[in-house]
Amino acid sequence: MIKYVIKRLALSVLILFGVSIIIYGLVRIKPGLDFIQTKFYAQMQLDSTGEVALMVEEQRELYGLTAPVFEGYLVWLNHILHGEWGNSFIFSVSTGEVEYLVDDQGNPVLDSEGNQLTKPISSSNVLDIIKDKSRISFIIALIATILQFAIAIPLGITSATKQYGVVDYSVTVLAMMGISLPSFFFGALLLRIFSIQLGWFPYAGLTDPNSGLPVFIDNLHHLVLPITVLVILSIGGLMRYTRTNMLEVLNADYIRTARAKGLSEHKVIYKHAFRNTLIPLVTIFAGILPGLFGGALITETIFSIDGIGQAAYRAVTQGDIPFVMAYNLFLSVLTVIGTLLSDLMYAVVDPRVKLVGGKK
Amino acid sequence: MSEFEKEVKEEKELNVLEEAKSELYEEVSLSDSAKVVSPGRMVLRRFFRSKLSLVGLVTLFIMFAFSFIGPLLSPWGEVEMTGDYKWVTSILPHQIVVTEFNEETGMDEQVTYIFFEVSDPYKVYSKTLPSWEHIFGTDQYGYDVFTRLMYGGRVSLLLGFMVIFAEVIVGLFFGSLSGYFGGWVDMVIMRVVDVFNCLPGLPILMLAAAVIDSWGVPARVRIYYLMAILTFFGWAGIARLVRGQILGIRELEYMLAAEATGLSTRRKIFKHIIPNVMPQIIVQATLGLGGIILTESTLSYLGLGVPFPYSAWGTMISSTSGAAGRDILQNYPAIWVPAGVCIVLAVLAFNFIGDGLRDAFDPKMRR
Repeated sequence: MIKYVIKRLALSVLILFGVSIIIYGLVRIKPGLDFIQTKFYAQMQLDSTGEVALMVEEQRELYGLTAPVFEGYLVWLNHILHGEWGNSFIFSVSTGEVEYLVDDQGNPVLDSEGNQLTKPISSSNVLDIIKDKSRISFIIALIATILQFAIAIPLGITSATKQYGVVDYSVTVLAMMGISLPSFFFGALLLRIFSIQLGWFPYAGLTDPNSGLPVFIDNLHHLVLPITVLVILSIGGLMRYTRTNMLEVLNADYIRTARAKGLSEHKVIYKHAFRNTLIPLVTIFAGILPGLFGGALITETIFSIDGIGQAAYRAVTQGDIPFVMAYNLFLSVLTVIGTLLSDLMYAVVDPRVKLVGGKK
Repeated sequence: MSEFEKEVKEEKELNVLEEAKSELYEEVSLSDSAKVVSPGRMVLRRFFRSKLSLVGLVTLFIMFAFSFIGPLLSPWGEVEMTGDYKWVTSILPHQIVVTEFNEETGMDEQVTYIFFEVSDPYKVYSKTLPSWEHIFGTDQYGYDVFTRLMYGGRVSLLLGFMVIFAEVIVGLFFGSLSGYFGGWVDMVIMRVVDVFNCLPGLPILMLAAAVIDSWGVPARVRIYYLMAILTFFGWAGIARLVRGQILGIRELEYMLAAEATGLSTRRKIFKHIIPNVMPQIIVQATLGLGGIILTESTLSYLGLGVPFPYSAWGTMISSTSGAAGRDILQNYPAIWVPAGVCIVLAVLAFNFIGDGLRDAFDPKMRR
């Protein structure tokens, strides 16, 4: 087991190396001025003190842009490994800490009541921003994922046990619709019908000071439409997956045995068949993890939710390359961890999987 | 009985025997009692038996006709402004400060002059509601929506087919290398495939598209870059599929036979392995086509795909986004709803056909 885990871990690290090479390479293939020079070009022209130029050089140093590609990659990787992921051009968040203000002589600045004045420290470190923005995205994704499982698995089982029935056909077609619907179109449709036409749900954002509802209820009210989009769009795949696995299990010999023993159909399906379909479902964990923390890019953008997905969209459209790089890397790390977890879970759940480090 | 008569009789008997024999053969012969059906025929028959795949095929056929023949019949062009317009003149105020000699006071004074620069009248097009002339009305630039729908279909369908074709070629190449040779070749290629599988789909495409944006390539050429990006980030799945299939095929008896007859490696790969992998690849490619159309339209929606003024279904829906799009979202559904319906129909059609093909190629795998 330990050998297997170590092997998988080593492989994950290797994959992350590859991912980082691709991401860095993408940023570096741009000819001419690099992204930091482009960003601060106008400021550098206006600035006479040379401060901006100094800052730009510092920034370029961080990304290894002053060196040739390969060396630059190593420099950048070194910084990444040390947790210096760079600063976003457009975002900043308050870290929650405060800085005590002092005057020129170092004496504390006091207000009329004798308290020392403070200034909140804001940070545009991409890691801080990812941490801050992914909170709301996580909440949304968590609710959506729970709902998705709660709806998709029973439907998938029903459609497998009553194959070629009415439920089965409607589930198949609905699942297909879910897979084929683009999120931006579905989101726009929901907004048009339920928000503009019927006025049941708010148009955008997370809170509405005029709603008069308690904050929590108000937030939930705002989240109904985005969560609907997420659930409907992802439910199809899961439903089909459950159905396929269930059908496979239902054809197995031990189900025939269970039926031959005279067990009730309910027992056969939920005790003997369903438990075995759970094994392949474990592999889905690989996909859930990035989905949980990585945000929903399009959905958040449509419904103007200030999560990490919308941040990524704004970063791309406004040329905030540091944030986009960090976001991609962050998602890749999540994917790798998810895959690793699902492999390990698979081994734990299914005793038939042998944990040998050798070839398959 | 003369000799002659005897001969004739014998001949007759022989003929009877022959006839009986041929009758017997007629009854037994498989080729006459049952029609010989080639595997391809069987696949086709199974494919057409499924209603959903037929629906998909017909939908796709209509889409192709709509987007490739439609523009020839449409009275409007892709970037032809039409519909309602107003004549507008723009008025630009200018202000200059001049130092002038004031005769009354006898001193130099600062005098401010304001003058207005009035332009020649020009046309400003606005959105129009559907009419017989413009079936879905015109959009905010004065383009006919129905015609742009056709051109958008051209882009989506063509781009989808080109990308999937390129992906299959690249995937086949690396997948068969990996599966056939095994060893370190397999090791290296599969690790690269792993890397591509761990890249986040949409965000990395957005990053790549944004980088290409910054190169400032002309709009027409952008589409080819888009294809290259989609292929670059999409081939890994097919490579993995091909490799898995080949690993299975390599162990089969007919490969042993091919080995024994001393065929060259190339012949073994191209004549014996690839034709047997093709069914799975065709299924995967058909299902993948829907995915590519979705990705392309998403990128276009985000403004990173097919560039303006060329039309794409995703771009048409993106006119609803933001504060400026509120009016279109609310009052002009004819501008964006048809585009969304087109995307859904195209993707659904490919998914139905892919599912039908899968069932047809391998009836055992019937879900």
